[in-house]
This record gives sequence, C-alpha cells and structure tokens, in this order.
Amino acid sequence: MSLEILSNPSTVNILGNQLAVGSLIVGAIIMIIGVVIARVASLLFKRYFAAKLEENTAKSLRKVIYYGIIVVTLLAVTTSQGIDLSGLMVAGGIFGIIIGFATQSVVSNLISGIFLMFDRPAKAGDLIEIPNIKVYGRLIDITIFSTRIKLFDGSIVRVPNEKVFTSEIRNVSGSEVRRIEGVVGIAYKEDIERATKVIKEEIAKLPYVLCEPEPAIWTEELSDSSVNLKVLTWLPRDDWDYVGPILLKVMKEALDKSGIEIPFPQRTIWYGQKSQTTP
Amino acid sequence: MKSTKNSDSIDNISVEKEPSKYSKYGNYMIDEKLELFFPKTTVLILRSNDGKFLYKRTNSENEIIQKIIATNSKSFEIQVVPLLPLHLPSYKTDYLFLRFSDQIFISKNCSTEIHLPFPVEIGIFTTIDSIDLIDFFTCESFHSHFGLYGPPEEGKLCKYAKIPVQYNKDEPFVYAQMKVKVLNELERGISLGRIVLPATDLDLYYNDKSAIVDNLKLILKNRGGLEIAEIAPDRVMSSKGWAKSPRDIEKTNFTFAMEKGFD
Repeated sequence: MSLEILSNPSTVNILGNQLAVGSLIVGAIIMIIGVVIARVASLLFKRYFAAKLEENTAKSLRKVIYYGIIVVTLLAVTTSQGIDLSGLMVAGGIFGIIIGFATQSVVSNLISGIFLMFDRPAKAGDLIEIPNIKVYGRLIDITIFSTRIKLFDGSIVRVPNEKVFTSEIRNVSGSEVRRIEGVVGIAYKEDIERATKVIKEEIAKLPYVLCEPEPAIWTEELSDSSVNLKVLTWLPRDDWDYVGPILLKVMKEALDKSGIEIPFPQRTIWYGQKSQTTP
Repeated sequence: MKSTKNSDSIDNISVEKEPSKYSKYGNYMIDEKLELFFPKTTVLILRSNDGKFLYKRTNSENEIIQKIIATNSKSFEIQVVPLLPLHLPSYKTDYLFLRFSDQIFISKNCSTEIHLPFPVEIGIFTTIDSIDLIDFFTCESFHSHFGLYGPPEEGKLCKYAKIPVQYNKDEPFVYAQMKVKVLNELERGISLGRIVLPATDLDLYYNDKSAIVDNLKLILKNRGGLEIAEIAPDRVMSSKGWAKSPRDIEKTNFTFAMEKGFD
C-alpha cells in the first residue's frame, strides 16, 4: 500500500516545479528523520559534553547543532525534490536587502552575542558591572540577542548584546577576594597611629574581613577640618553584604569608644581690628 | 554516657569556666536533660512536654542559639565530636591557612617533626536514624576568619588561624594535635612561617577530651626553579581508645603544593 503511494504518478506544482506526491512523501520522511537526528544529537551533546563547558557556551552550541542539522536537512530535501532555487535566490536577494536594513540592530546584537560567547568576559553567576549603562548585578546568561542580569533589587534587566559588547565590563567575580574601602576623618589634634590601631583592631574582628592580606590604613588627605584616613579591607568576593554596609559604622564606633574625635567641618575666622590713631 | 533527670528551665544556663568540668567528646543518651560544658560555651538539651527536645547553646558573649528537635523515640542520642574548622562563619573553602606565631627555621637537607595545634570546631550530631549534624560551634571565635594564600588576583581563599608552634594539651576543644614531618630538600635553609593545606583531605579522631588529626608530610623542594612545599596527609593508624569523627563535608584527595611562598 505504502509503495503504491510512493509510485503515484500524480504531481503538484511547487515554485514552478512539478513534483510527484510520492517524492514529496520521501521529502517529508527525510525531514522527519532530520529533526529526529537533530534532537538526538542535541540531547547527546547535552548529556556528554555540556557539563564540561560553561553553561552559556553549552546552550549556544546545542542550538547551533540543532538548527545546523535542520538547515542541512532542509537543503537535502529541496535537492532531493529537484527544486530550482535560483528564482528564489534573486527574490531573496532583494528581500534580504530590505530585511537587512530593517533588522540591522537585531543582526548587530546577534553578531555581538556570538563575539561575547567567544570573548567570555563573564560567566553565569558572576557579579558584573557595566558602568556605561549603570547596570550592576549577577549575570544570568548571555543568549544570542541579549544579556540578562539580575539586579540587587530582585529585578532582571535585559541588555542588548551590542551594548554589552561595546561597553567596558567590570567582573567582580574575577578572583576569590575583593577589596572594599572607606574613609573616615579624625581631628587634627588626634594621634594618627593610635586611630589607625583602634580601627584596625575593630575591623579585624569582623569574621569576613581577611586576616591576610590584613586591612591597610593610610592618611588619605589633610583636609579642611579633618585628617582623612583611608581604610582598605579584603573579603571573600561574595560577602560584601556582611562588611560593606557596616564598615563605616564599625570604624565610627571604634573611634567613639576610644574617645577619638571625628570633627564637623569648621572654619576659623579672624576679625581684623582697626588701628587707633591719635587726633 | 547517660543524662540526668532534671526539671530545670532551659533559661537557666551558665557558661562553665572550670576546665576540669568540661564535658567529653563521645556519645550521650538523653532521656530528660543533658548539659554539656565547653570552653566559653554551654549546651543544654531538654525534653519538652510535647515530647520534642529543646536545644540551646550559649557562649561567653551571651549569644543564644535555640533549636527544636523532633524525634519519634523516647530517648535521644547525640554524638559530640571535633569537626574540621571550615564551617564558621560559613563554609566557603576546603583549604586551611595556618599562620605560625613564630617562624621555624629548617636547615638544608634537614628533616624534623613538629607537633602543631590544629584548630577544630565542635560538632553535635544526632544518631537517631542517620548521622546528621545538629549544630556546630567554635570555642575560639578568632578561628572563624579567612585569609588569602597568594596575591589577590590569583590567591586561594582559605580558612585562617594564627597558631603557636607548639601543641598545648591544656586547650581541649580548641585544638587537635597535628604531627607534621618536615623535610627540606632545598639547597638552603628555609624559614617556615605558614602551612596551607586542603583540610578536607584529613580525618579527625577523638578520645575523652583530646583530639588528633591525620599527620602531615611537608617536603620543601625545588620544582623547575620554583621552591615549593609539597603537602600530603599521612594517615593516623587507628589505635585503642581513639574514635574517628563523622564528617559532614565530603572527603577529598587533592594534590597540593604551596607554590606561593611559605615564610
């Protein structure tokens, strides 16, 4: 029965080509087989190779494998049907120019996405900052067209790949530790060495402040009203929340406890006196 | 060991300062109440009216940790053991950075054996159905810090402890004893000021109030012009009276060498 259908002499017209119904069925079977092969290849890649690659790269490669096989299958089907695509090519060329202009930014994002996958400035889960567009958060993934970043307020921002690719990216997760800084002013009358010791001792008690390299403190500026001390501490890269928000508080409390003054801005004004002349 | 029957409130808890009254490592069966004393820390477990157990831990800074333990059985068994010092303030790394209070000088082609204090945390496991960690704590809060081995851009994050270069058995529950065999194969004498090691490679053992950890072999050698310290654990042979601590962190078998200095 099935063989009879395949040998059916009746034809249909597709793009000016007379195609036998049986030949179309063969084409459909090739297409189905192609889709099955694409899915199996994609699944096999996911099971055996994806774990060894970065999440984003693995996802993209999986898509390339899947759609690559589908495109090859489509070409095989059209070739097997003897369809002449030259007419379509001419029309496609003109249509392509129109589409090209219309989808310029889409193509730009696509190309940028591909370059980002090779460049790999960050991987999923990294804490990144894109200063140009004022985005700071955790990278979720880089897809073909856009980059998704989870901000600290819980929202997710989607940035077109073109913007990401052409911007400078600061990856905070590049090393296991990161440094944070704080500035505190002490009165001119205070002993800098003592203030340094007091601050150092107190911030060393914070469990996420690294013992080595130990916190560094230096005189940053002799400003109008105070001697400004700069404090630099290292901490595990993902634990900013345990130190950042309380660093200045801890420094102030340490200075208060030791009776070291943190001065207000003040200005000393000298009044000139008129000289008294005898008549 | 068996607990005593007592109807005291869980609020009445004080920190024991007398070392002779410190509790021991090991198993405890609780029917009604159990009180355990460690340096700067007291643990109290009480049966409540609804059959559950109330767990309360207090330290010298009066911080209180309370938990309710639900169990089907009438009695309740816990195991108090030394733990790898990697849990506090949070588990982030398998590596431990031991900074010596004084450097140890090892002459050229010399080998020596040192007994170092190895910081420990204390773990309380339940042994009812499976061995699960109920709580962990440290008796020395300054051991709950981190340090970086190597430069900031490529260093390794480690748990950090500053230790004396001689083990003192008068500090139970704070340190276990670690025997380190050091061999200097370099063409010059070396000052050793720190050891960085993958702590998860090691096992801890306890007996009464004492704890020991697997021995360590440290070989100072030249590898392609770079002076390194190759570190490998040397298993403690099981001896009478010593029991192996259960673990909650998977045992590893890292190949590790200190390549970023050891002074």
